[in-house]
Amino acid sequence: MKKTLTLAFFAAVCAAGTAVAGKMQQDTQWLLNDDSIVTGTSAQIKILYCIGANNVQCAVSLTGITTIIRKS
Amino acid sequence: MSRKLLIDILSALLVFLFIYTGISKLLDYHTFRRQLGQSPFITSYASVIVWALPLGEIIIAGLLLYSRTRLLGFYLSFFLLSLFTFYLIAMLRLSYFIPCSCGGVLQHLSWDAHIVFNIVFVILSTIGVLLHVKQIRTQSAI
Repeated sequence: MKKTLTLAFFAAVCAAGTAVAGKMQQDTQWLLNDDSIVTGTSAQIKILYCIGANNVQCAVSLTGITTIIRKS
Repeated sequence: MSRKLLIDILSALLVFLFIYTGISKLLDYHTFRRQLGQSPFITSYASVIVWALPLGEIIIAGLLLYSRTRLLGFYLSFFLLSLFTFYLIAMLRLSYFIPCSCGGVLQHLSWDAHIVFNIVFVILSTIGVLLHVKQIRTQSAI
């Protein structure tokens, strides 16, 4: 029982820490199709700048290789 | 690997998934609410789902923590993950615009990768249910 609790609680603590740390690192910059650069999470960019069809690439992350709005 | 250790690992994986996605959704409440509002099929229920989904995920994680409630946690995980998967498949087939309402890093996955990810966790929940039921039977037989 103790061991079980330890493993599952460890996972819970790690998950909570990862989620909070991820929230604190959300200043990703995105290059939009009109060459403007905006800052925000991929979800925020998708809502604010990428409304429309999903088969059109809308933004590319400048800090990584992530692209958003892409229905494969 | 013993059956008990395998159950522990499976529940720890599901706990990680549900706590991570649940807390990510709550931390990004306003974005999540807007995404649900844009989401086809569930727009009218967005105000309920915006709280029910992350809290439900955290409650399921809580059930998975204790051996007494773990079987219920595995069943609910299976149900919720299957629901997510069917919803994703339905949206991909039927909807033109698909906002991702997923928590944290999962929103970077492609739709196909997301479905595969969900199916893997549905399988893990199923294995968890089967192993747990088997363990309960073994314990009651002793």
